[in-house]
Amino acid sequence: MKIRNILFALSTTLVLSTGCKKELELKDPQALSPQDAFSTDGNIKKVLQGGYDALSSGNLWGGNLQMYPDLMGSNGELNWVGTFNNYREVWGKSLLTTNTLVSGTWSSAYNVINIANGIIANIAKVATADQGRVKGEALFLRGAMHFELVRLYAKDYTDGTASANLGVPLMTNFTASTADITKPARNTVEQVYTQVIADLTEAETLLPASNTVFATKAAAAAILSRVYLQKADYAGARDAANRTIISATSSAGGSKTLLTSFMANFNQAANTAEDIFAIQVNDQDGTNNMQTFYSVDIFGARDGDIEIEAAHLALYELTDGRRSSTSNPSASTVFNTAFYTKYSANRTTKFRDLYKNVKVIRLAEMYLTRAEANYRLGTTVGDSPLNDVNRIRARAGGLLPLVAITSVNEIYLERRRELAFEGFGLHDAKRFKRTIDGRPWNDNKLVFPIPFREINANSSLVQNAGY
Amino acid sequence: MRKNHVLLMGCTLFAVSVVAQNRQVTGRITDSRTGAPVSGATIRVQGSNTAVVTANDGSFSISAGANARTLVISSVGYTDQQVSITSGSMNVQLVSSERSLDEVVVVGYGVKNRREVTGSVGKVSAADIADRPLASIDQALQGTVAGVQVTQNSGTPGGGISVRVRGSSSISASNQPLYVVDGVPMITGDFSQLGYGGQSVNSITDLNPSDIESLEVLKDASAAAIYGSRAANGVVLITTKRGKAQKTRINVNVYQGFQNAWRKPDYLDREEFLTIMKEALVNDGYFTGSETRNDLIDWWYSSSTLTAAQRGPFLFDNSINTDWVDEVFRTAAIKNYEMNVSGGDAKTKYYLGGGYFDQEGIVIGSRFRRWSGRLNLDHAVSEKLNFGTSISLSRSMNNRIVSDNTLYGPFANSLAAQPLWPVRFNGAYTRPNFFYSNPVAEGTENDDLAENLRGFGNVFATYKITSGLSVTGRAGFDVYNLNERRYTPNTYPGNSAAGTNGSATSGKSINTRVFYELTGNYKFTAGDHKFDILAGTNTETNKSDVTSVTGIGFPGEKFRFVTDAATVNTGSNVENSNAITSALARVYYSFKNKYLLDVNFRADYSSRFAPGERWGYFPGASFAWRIKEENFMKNAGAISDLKLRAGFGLLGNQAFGNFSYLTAYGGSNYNDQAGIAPVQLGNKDLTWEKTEQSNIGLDLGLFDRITLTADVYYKKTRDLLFIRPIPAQNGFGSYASNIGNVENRGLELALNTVNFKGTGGGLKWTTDFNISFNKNKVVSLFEGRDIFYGFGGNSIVLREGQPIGTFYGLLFDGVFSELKDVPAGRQAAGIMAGDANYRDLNGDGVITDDDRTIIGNAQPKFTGGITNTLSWRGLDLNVFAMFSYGNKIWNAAGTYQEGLFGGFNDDNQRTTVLARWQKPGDITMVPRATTDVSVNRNNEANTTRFIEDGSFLRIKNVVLGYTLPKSTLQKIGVSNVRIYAQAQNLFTFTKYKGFDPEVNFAGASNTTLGTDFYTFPQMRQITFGLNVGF
Repeated sequence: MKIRNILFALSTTLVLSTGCKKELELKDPQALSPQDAFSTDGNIKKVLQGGYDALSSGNLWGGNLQMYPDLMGSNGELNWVGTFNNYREVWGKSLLTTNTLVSGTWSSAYNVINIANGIIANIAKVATADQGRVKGEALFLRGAMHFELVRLYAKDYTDGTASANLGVPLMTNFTASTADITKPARNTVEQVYTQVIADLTEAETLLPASNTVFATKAAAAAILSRVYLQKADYAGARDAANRTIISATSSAGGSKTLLTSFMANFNQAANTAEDIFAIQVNDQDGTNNMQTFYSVDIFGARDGDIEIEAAHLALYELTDGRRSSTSNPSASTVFNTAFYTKYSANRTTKFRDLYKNVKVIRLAEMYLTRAEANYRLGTTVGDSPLNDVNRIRARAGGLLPLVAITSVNEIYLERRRELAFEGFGLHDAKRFKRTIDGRPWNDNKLVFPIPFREINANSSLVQNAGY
Repeated sequence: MRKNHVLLMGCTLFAVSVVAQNRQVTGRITDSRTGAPVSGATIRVQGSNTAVVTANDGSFSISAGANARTLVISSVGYTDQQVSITSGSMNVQLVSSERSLDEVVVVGYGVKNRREVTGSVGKVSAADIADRPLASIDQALQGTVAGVQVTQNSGTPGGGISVRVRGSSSISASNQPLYVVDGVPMITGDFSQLGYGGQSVNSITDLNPSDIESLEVLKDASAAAIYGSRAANGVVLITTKRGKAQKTRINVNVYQGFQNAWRKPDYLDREEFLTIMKEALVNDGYFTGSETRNDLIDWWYSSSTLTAAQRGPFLFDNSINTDWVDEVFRTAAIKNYEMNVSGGDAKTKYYLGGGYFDQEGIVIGSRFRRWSGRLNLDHAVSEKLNFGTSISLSRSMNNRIVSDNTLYGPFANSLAAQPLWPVRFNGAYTRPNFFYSNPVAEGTENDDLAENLRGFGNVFATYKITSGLSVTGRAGFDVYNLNERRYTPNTYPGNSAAGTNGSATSGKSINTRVFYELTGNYKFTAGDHKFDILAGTNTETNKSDVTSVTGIGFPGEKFRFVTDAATVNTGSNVENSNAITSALARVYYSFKNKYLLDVNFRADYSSRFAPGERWGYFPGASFAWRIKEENFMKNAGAISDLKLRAGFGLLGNQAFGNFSYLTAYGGSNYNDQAGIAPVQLGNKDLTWEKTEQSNIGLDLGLFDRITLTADVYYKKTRDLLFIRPIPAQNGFGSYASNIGNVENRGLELALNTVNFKGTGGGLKWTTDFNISFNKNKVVSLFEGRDIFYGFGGNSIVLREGQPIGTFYGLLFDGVFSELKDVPAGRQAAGIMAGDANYRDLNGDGVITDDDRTIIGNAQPKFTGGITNTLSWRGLDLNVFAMFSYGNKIWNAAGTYQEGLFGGFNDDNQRTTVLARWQKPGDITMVPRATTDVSVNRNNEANTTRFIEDGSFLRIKNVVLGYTLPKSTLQKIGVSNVRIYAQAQNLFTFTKYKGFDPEVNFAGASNTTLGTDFYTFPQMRQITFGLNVGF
């Protein structure tokens, strides 16, 4: 009797527990499996969209990739006064391997690359008509990120032997699960450049001339021109810049053109006619670290972490419209000068306002790249260097055209004025072999270290010299 | 003869009426300690079925047969007593069964007498906490239960606290114990979506402490194994008060009081501040020393970031000398009103309680209020079937302030604000430090409100199939709704909504737990063999629905809700769920009450793991030998109890992400278009953290006056949840896995003594003392590698062989008195006299990060408490002290508060900097004032300069009470009146120089411990209370 009762109680409990099983088969309502994410044409295109979102991270083109070259390459032109030590270390060329920006940018870039690899691996599932564009965009993302990594985390292409110097690991396979985890070693600088050129060249072929705010033929060619320029392949740079200009200014490419006003480029929510590629930011979504750190609190930024020094203003001719300045504005002051003074320091207006897009490639850069490459090669592909440079000077306002170009340094100077704070400082200084804050252009401290956590997680990685 | 009795007692209420053959026995039952009447006690005439229950005033009257000799008196919470029937009114004092062998101890799924317990179980009963102004019941465990270390972390009203049962066993999953209220696991943790610095919202505060009958802590694995996969951090069983079969009792309890800071470290005044500022500029060569005060102010503040208008004329006004800490501190009120009604008859019993608790924080802008109600019902349908409920509803309103690591906290900013600024100038707030906003504005102008509504309870039914066999079904729920709102106006300089013109956020979090359970219980005795068998199953599902929306751009500060925002720019809504189902069983066997064996088993199936890894099995067993029952001990009269206990068990911890096992892709939008992007890499092998614990204990009683409980334990946790790093080249930086071991070993002693028995209303004095020694050690980590974390990212290290909470940094050996004292290598690097002398551990001649080492740890060597309770006639005095010894506190804020203008940081300074180095020959531990930070690392945070001894002894609580004598009460017609005065944190003895030694800027964090960084300090509370029973 007693035993039977116990058995009764136990069997009741067992029935109850099996009855509950269904409630335990829970799904994460906010997540898809990787199989689902890459299952259909529609989903893969959404993953591509996610790839751009990853690209827009503050660690990448949401601002940091543009800020690092100007902070590290400041050469007395700008001053990090903010409280964040991680940026201060970039500016001071005193990076620790544990710096969170060093690891953040590294992992964010490889996140974009992995998304691109996932799209490329599943490209067959995309509607045939769109396969070229989608693959082209994925290759653009992968190529651009490998390029950004190699020029930050490795010696410059022209420093020593590129085929012997360590670059960054090239990732072309998709990590779908823990089974795919690899511990790749660093490829050489040469290998990385080769892969980047291959990816971007194919992307340029596959991409359409116009593609709303996403990667276009011109955008791929523009990054390609930067790649060639960095490796001092001026013919490649010239031709890529020229192709960019041709494609972008064509009606199929959206008839891009230099804006009449220099300042009309900046603090824009939508892409302008001069933007070849920009990261989209609005009040709903997106990060603009340029605004956060270059602007000041009255415009919704931090307290003005980056001050512009007199050494930078000295680059301009006094009448240059790109040097104009407003003194001590308040939040309600309407002004559109290139600089303003606030809290007793000069600030750039380029990134003044909240929720505006982040510049990545402007058409103006392509004219200057074409000019420089043509000048170095003694050619006039597309147009003469003088015409290209004067085009930029004329638009700046307040300047007379040059009558002749007597040195490539004149074009470099124009580049520093036109593209100031837009992410060229360190990279161009290395190309022109300039001394930066007393350090030679190929100083070890002008190269980012491999992040401490990566060295820890991957024993095949070798640390850069000087760290 | 009988007539005489009547005459003798004529003046009392307890007249004895005369019934033929029988006599009427009358009397009154009181508590031996307090003298308070004991109502509801059962009086039975031995050898008969006659029984009565005492009235509210403790009186009884029972008819006894002529031959009856003895009355048996019993009442819950008291030791049964047999007394001879005497003539006249009998006054019987019942002795509380607490701490005696008859003490009832709640164990998982049942109750036991203390003598039957085989595991390690600590208890706090209602009487222990009766007069303490506790906001939250978990505070009651502080210093009262051996082996339980409770850290308050801050003085934030309604804030979360850390409870560690036998040390920290996890590094990534939770270390907080499981709270089970009347059989249902409670939702615990912080569900706030808004950042307020380190201090969290504590969802346990929704329980009104005065509704609690007892708290039991299941400390060892054998006791806790019945709670399986969630018991690794111990289990706290909370039992609420229930009605008794007695006449209705109404109890009203009111207290009210005030609170203020018990200590305020000194900060520089205007004169001192400017003197040191100037000294720094002279040291650095900016000034020659001949400049005037106005030159100094002009130089410093015009070269910074202020316009002339912002600077105002006041900076030059020497009469302004603001003490900002005083501006944000206040004398804060605390009050509590509550009433409960309980009673019932043999069939139906009830407890109905309601309360209002209101505590202001000692920092402006903070306040916690709670309204709570509870209804506990028991109804017997028949001899066999019982129903019951245990239901509470509560609401709380928490006005929060940002603290700890922030630029926007009233308290934090008050420590940085300079004395040169008035609070307001021409009606407008000033900005008394460029990096921080006005502290008073932060505490006054913002809305920061967290409101919650919580329903928590269960219904249960027990059916007795036979006398020993019963089945209980229980269904419970916990619905926790948290509504939060924040509004930051753009009305004072430096506010966080500058640039967005006002910002408002509304967050809602609805957390629902549904629990059902069926247990069968079978008890039987066969000769000397006694069995108590339990088997059961339960299922718990949890769902959370979290919504948040933010708007910016407001037409004015009168408009404070998102609907008036120009732009609604962030919105989210997330749903999440998890579930667990379990089967459990226990066999308790006792042979001759001498050998006791308790075997537990629980199997848990959790949705948090991949199919295939979901089942976890958690066995536990304990054995006790009651040596006192052996024949050879019968004559050892001095020894009233002697019991040896031993137990072993395996427990789990699954307090981590709901879907960590899944590789997940989530929403990722760009350019206002929907996208998908990877979120995490899953791990199909993810499983429970497992804690093995063995325990050996001894219970010793001497002369019925002294009890000693000693336990030693060894606790080893393996398969720690660890976010394993992988090369980020794979697109992911890490995935959740099970790696590493942590161990805790310790000794706990609890000694309770009755120093004076207090018979007949004389002096009674008892002492309860407990002390716990726990040694925590990280045994193994992923690839044996150190993990750096903590404030600043590298101040605390997890290292094999070291405890959790190990501080890391440079060793500070004082300040170089003269240049010749500076080693050549460091002179070459630019170190001067007056700079910090750090130890060059690697001997390379310079100080680099390679010279960092372990510089202390936050784990105490021992903690404990001592309670002395004295009563004499109507007076009672309770003094409770707690202590912690050997723990270090890292005053991380020192880098700013004692930074001596390094890096042009002009935060106000602690007066410790008055002892700074000023000229060669000065011997001091405080470096020179200098703005230069390029090489000297003078004020670096992670150094022993800022590591302090955090040991303390704190008179946590003192209560002095007076119970009005019965004669007075009769006149006013109430059964019980007690008045008392109470003081919390009356005295604190510590070497720590900050605001409070019970501190952690990271709140109830698992692994970031003992760090002081602008943390809201604790207060001293004085309250006065009145307790009236009808």
